[in-house]
Amino acid sequence: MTDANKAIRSAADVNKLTQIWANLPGWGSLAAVNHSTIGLRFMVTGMVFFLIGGVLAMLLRTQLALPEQSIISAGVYGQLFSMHGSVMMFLFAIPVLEGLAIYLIPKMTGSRDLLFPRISALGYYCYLFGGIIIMFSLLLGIAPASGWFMYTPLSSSEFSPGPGSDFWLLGITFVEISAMAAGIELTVSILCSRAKGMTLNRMPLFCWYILVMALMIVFGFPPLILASILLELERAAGMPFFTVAAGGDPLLWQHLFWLFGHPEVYIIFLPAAGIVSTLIPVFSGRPIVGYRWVVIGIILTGFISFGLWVHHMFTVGIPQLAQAFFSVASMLVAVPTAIQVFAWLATLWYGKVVFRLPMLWICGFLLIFVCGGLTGVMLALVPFNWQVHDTHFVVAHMHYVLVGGMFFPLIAGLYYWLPLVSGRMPSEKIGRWGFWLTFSGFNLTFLLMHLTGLLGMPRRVYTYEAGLGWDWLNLLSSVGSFIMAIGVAMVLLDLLLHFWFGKRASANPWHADTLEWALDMPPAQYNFASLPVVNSRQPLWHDPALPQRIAAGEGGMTDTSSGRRENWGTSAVSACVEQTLHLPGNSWWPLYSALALAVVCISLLCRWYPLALLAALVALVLLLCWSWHNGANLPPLASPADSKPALPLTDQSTDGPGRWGMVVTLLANGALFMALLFGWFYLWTAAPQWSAPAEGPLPVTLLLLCGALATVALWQFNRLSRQLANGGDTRLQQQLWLCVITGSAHFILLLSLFIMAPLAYTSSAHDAVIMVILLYLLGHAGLAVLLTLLQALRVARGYVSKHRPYEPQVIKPLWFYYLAVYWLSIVSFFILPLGWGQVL
Amino acid sequence: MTWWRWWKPGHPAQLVLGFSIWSIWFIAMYAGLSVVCQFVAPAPQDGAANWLNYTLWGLTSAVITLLLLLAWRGWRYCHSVPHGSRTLRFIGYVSTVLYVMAALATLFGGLPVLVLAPCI
Repeated sequence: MTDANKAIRSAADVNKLTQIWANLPGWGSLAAVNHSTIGLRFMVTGMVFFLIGGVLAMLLRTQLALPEQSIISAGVYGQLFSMHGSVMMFLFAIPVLEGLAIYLIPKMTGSRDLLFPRISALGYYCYLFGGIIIMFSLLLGIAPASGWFMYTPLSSSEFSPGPGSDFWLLGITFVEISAMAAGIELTVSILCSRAKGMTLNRMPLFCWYILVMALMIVFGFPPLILASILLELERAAGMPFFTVAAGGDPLLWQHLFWLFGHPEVYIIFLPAAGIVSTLIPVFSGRPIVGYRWVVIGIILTGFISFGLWVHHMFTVGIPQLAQAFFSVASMLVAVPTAIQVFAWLATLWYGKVVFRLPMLWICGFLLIFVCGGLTGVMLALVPFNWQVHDTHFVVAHMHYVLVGGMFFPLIAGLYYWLPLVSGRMPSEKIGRWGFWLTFSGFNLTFLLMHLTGLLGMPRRVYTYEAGLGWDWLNLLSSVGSFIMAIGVAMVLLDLLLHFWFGKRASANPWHADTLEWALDMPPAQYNFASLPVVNSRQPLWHDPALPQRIAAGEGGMTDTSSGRRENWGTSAVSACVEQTLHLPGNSWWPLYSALALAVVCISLLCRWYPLALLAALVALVLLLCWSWHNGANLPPLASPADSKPALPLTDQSTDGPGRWGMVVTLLANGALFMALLFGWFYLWTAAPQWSAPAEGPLPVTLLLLCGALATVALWQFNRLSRQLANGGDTRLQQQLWLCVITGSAHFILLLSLFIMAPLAYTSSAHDAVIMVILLYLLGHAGLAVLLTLLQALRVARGYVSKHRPYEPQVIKPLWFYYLAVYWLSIVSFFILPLGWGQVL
Repeated sequence: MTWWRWWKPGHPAQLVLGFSIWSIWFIAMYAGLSVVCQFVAPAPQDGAANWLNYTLWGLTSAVITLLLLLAWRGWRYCHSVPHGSRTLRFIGYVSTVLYVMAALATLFGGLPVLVLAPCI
């Protein structure tokens, strides 16, 4: 083929690719699912919430600037600080970083999109609607006022009778759907769809950080989701999980909250550290020192951060030995952070550092975050922790870690990737002013706040008496916060103005090494015209001509004849190409489903339970319809030969991203179940007035019979899916119907037991927990049966057969999971108490 | 699916196995301590020398031994992998260091049982 012919073919392919990957025009853009669009939407929305949270902070500092002020009343102050923390943590920090990851990961890994793009869109809409619902409470003057951690009993209906706590519990849980969606999607996308040759040891460090962050979301968020559900059940239905008189315990909330809350800090920190680990090598002009050690540090952080939660509870009355465990773990977490800090310093030391604008923010990060880390080690020491607990010292530490550890790297990252998004460069001059004002304002505010705390000023007080030694410190802190606000405003102005006035960026303006800089600026919706092959950790440094070759179609997957959004599916470790993935395109299902869920949320807030039930059913139907249409749904194969192309489609194989997605989802589900199990044993052993009936609420023999039916259903499903995997589909549909019948029998028996159970769920925490676990089991049994039924219907349409054995393999782990939690629940909640009931 | 292959030294599951063991140890220590202190607490006057602390230290020692054995196995594996298999060497190396670190984390976490009374 001549060069001219190549060029003509290439132009035609690019046009076709553009057409395949384009968002719908006008209002149709609401149906967009592309990762670039969704990632940017996350970030822009997050920045809007950041501005709102910032305004709240300014109001707080105005009130505290002078003693004995009454600009803001105590009640409003409570709402403002609660909303400031909640907005910054749940509506800004996590979503913005998720958005950045959603935007960047496919570009860095050489893919065209994330693997579950419609889930991304659903996550965005849940975030948007949840955020709006929460913000409405502020507009109506009924915002939550129990702090961003919503401690019981302050947040319980007795002490917070209005709807404020409900807004938090329902709104945040709604928003967390987006975090879970991002966690699952990013995990699977990083593991199952990277450029050919991008083995685990060649993966950009940013991807390692995001992988661990995503897995931390998967394990870290479920305890809070459970806690929120339990507290809302207590407030709305009177189920006394946190009420001492009925056998509950308010400390259970603290455990569940901080089981999420401390890893949350690292969920925020890790992506930011990923930005740092990406930028420092680029601006030092050399690869990072100790790549393997940084990976070790990341994994270590991911684990150890789950072992620190009790250091938030050192003052609640815990045995000294237990305090020592958590104190040691709290100090240990400094080790992986130190590994990373030393790797960054060594890279700077050995490199030739260019101090461009992003590097300024990185330097600010290093200084502030190290200081925050050191005060963290101080707080890990139990006696010191007792002294400064609930003082402004803790507020200062927290802001040093979170603003230093997240905000500064984020701005560095925004400046760094800005040319990629817009094709233009930011203003160095405005940017530097923005940095210095933010940096000096921040330190003036929070460095002094350490001292305010050491002098004894408690946090969450709306005013203070004059003459306690706090006056000048508070005044300077308030002045500093306004200087910081001016700095942040300048940065945001710079970011905004550069879209019109910024200089045109040259290709790869920072001389970076990662694949996203091989793209056009701004990138096309499909990212790569042809999928790159990678042979090194720094592909653009070792192969500077790679961008041209990608654009010329010399990479993989250049055939656009299918007319579908295609990508490579690669193996998790060695990144070998294994299959062709057909990714779903624009869709209204995510928006409709999120709208239905928003109606559920609002109905629950207003206590319109019939409407909530109806909306929940609509949401379920929408999600099931979505799953039906999201399947391959290709016409039945004409002949067996068609089913074996060179590179199989996912539905022609027995493993693929959907199966990985199911497994990761079940890991999150398992974390929620384990949190519930923890709550059960915690109440059993620690609640001051725990009481259990002498006999169990349900006959164990019937529960065993019920379990036997579930076991048979699993055996049937497992047999048929193995048969499919081995290439047989004899009487497949009958087998599926048989499994549906057995599963339904199990479900009906369990439902009957549940209805007949004499549960005093409003007067006994014991019965309330039993009720929750039964509902949990019923929900899962129903779902497994429903999905199996859909499979039976799909067999009839030819969507599942021996040539398309994939979908049952996706559902199989759900059956296994359900059976495992069923038997574990029976033993833990019904059999064990029979033996131990009298003893405990 | 052969689950057994997860235990082989070059498998990526090895990257998380060390600290998964640490996590189980951590939960067992905290949960065990809490339950025992609630129902059959040793006498406070015994100080750190009591059956509960001995048990916890025994568990800690066993876990450290297991982690060090796994680290040794990983180290041997690193040396046995051909130089061309960089990904396998990477997994072997990283998981070996993580096993050692998990052992150290277990040691430091367990040391307090040697000096502190459990249920005070």
